[in-house]
Amino acid sequence: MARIEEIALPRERQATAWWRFNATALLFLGPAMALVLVFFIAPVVITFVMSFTDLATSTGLSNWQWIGPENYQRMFRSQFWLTILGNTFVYVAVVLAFNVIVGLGIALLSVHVEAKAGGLFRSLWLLPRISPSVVYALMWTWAAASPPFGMINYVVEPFGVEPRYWIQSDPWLIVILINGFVGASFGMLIFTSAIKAIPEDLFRAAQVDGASALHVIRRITLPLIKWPILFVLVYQTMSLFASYEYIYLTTNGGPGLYATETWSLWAFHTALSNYYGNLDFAYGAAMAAILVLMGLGISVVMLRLFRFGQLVAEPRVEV
Amino acid sequence: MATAVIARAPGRSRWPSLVPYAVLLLATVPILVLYLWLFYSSFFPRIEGFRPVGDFTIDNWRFLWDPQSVPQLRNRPPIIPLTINTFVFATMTSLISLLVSSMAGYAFSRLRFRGRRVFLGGVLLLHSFPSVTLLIALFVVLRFLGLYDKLVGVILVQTAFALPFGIWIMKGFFDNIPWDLEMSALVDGAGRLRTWWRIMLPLVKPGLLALGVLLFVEGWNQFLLPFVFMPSGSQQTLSTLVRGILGEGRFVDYGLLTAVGLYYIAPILVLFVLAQDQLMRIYAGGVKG
Amino acid sequence: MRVVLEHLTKKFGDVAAVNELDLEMRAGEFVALLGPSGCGKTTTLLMIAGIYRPTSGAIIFGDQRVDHLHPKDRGIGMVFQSYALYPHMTVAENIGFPLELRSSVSKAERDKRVREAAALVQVAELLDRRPAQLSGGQQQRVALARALVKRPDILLLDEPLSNLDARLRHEMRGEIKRLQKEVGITSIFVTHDQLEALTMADRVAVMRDGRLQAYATPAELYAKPANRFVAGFIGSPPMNFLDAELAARNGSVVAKIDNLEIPLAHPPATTADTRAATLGVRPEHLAILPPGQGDANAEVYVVEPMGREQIVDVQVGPRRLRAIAPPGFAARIGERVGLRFAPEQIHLFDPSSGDRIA
Repeated sequence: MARIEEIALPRERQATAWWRFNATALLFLGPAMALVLVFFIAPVVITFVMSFTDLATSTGLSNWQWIGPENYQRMFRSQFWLTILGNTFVYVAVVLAFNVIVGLGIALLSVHVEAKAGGLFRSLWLLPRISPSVVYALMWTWAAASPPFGMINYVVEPFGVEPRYWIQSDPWLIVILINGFVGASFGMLIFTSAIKAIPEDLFRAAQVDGASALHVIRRITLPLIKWPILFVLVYQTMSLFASYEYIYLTTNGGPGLYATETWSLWAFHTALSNYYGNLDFAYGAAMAAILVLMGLGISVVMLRLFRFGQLVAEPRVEV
Repeated sequence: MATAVIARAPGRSRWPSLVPYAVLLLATVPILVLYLWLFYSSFFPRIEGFRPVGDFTIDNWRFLWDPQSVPQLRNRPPIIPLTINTFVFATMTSLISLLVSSMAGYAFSRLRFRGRRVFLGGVLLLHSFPSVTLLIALFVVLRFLGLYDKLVGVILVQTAFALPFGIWIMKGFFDNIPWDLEMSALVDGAGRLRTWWRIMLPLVKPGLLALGVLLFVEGWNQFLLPFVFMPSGSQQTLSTLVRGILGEGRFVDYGLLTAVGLYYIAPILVLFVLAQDQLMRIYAGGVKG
Repeated sequence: MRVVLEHLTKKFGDVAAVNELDLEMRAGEFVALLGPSGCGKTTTLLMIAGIYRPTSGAIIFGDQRVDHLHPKDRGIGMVFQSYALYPHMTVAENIGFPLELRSSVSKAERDKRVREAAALVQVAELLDRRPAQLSGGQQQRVALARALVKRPDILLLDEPLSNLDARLRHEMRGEIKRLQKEVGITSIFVTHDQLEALTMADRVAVMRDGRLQAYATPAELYAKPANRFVAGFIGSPPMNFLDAELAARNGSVVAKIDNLEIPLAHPPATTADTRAATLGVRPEHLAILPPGQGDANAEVYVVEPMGREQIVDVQVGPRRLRAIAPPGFAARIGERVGLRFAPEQIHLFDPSSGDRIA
């Protein structure tokens, strides 16, 4: 029998094997890494770097200067920052509550009823999410429109409510409804699949024990989907803090000065879309930097919370 | 499935079992009304509340055959090139995202390499990271790369934004393919590239299709990116057109807007009807963990 | 081609799935890796295939070390437990896939070899079907054809029969054995079923907890198991074990179990005055006799007729033993019988190490 030492592995072949192994990974991951580097990682860095400059339309891309933390000081000297911060918290809290409660309600009801009907209702609730934001905003603009057009006026008239232009008179109501109906589907879908994953024997056992429907929901369903609920809460909080598309398309932060302006919309207005023509990139970047930090923070918390370790089983092929 | 979860006991009144339907219906009415109005309104001169004023007309749709007669469209690029732009944008972003994320998803699911855990953690982190906060810096990046106001630039940004989600989903699809098939392909003499292309991709085809539809929908609907990064007329998409008419500030012509809006949303509705089950599954599955 | 494993070790974290395994398979030999689940047999096979990398040790094909080689460069064919047929390809495409990857094989040549391989395993008429349209046995055959089509030097089979129903398993057992001899290819197959290993293999390597327990022909494993584990694992129904004490009696040696004394035909070479031993006897070597005869008195506990024979569990004092009786044997539960141990067929093992003493 030949001994191991006699047929030792040629060194360079060993090296080849190792090299090929990593080259394959590089080949598969290269395109993704390049795109993520340029359009994800770089912007995060640039947001922070830029927030310490005076880059704006007026300076152009070449004439800017370092100005230290002045943008941040300016931000917190602004007479509106507290209003906007307050708006942001109200917006996030109320829309989040709407999203999660309605999402949970639709999920529970839609698995309760016949499978086909339940699926139909879930489909309908998904519609706002898959519709173009501008069309969806158009529909709400109409619903909230002043007499004689708006649908809301006709609905509330019998209750003695004066007809009005709702975007002007009750901008928050519209902001919450438009975002609420769009965001509810997220929780709804996650809760639905979580509820469906509960072994049916548990429900049967509870039924045999004589539990009422509400009792089953409270004592079995809800405790068993508490992780999905927590997940949706955290995830939605983060997306809401960063979102502004639907507000921009309806109230656009108004009416008047910053009535429904949220932090992310403020950054967007300042840096990318305002009426004064001078796009203040750096100042907007300072506002965005705060959101970026928050986003990173919550993302890290989520990785911790939802047991990242479980998701990365080792590959079973070692070549 | 927990459909019959809390099925009614025999002999009990049937009325309570109708309550959930009633509640669901009531909650869903606003959505139904909005979409019905969109359809309805495009065929009448005007709608007041729920009541059409005037006779049925296709006048609102004349932007398709006689755009010059529509005052709101006179200074805007014609609708057909905009539709093509939108289609190119949606198709390209979904195809590139599919390709890139299926490659990366395969690597994360099947390959061993240094830093795999770290990279995968990074993907998950980006997946939950709100990418809209990066628009300001992307403005600078695109200017720097000379891709500002170009369709290519926006396509790349949208593709990159879709990647973390796509990679995560694709990894999940590949995770579900038995390891035996992978091992078998390797023993049969295939390299990893060929195994991915010849064995794995065909096996995740339904998933690829579902993800592709979802990416197409998101690309088709995308408003902020083209709005911010492609300001000049010829490069616009349907979303910026609708926004342009809606935001003009003068008298809002809902008839025209709903017709254009319906024209814009129709492909999405068709896709949705065809692929709603897959879409729902992928929306629900892609955000777990 | 011969296959040599030297000090082969595979660790997952701190756990050694395969521990210092030494094994040599001769060219053309059919070797079974046998053991309970988790014994490291599949890990060993996957290392030979090149799917897993050994932590240490060497794998040698012929005279060449291969542990650094990619699976595709090892000249192996493999049949997986699940058959791993590519569901999106037809049978012909499945069988042809390994050749498709070789530029040296022309399209015409490939078709020819696919048909040959299909004929060899008798699936020639199924070439246009898809795997989902095949029965388990047909899938198995296709998997064999795919493994053989590239004319590998070594054939690996991972639990090839475990997904078949009992009747088909028996059929394929013979089929694979015959095919292996026909093709004359060195073959290694993994199984947890001792019957498969005994019936099919030229030599059987019994593994447990990552270590080799025995490596011998089926006949040797049955007649002279190397240790108590092997003795208990091979044979069905399994061997009976009794704690005994060896003692000298009239110039020969007997095994004392409580007040029973069983004479031994082959006592251990070194006999201390008395020593403890585990006595093993297979059910087929326990004869049931009328009451009062034989070495021991027993009481019938339960009878399981198997057609060709009957398995009879008997109670001897506090112990329960299993014996095999001919079909004509009739006994009721609780009936008293005599029991005889065939003296030639008694195995003795060291009670602490489990090693065979005689």
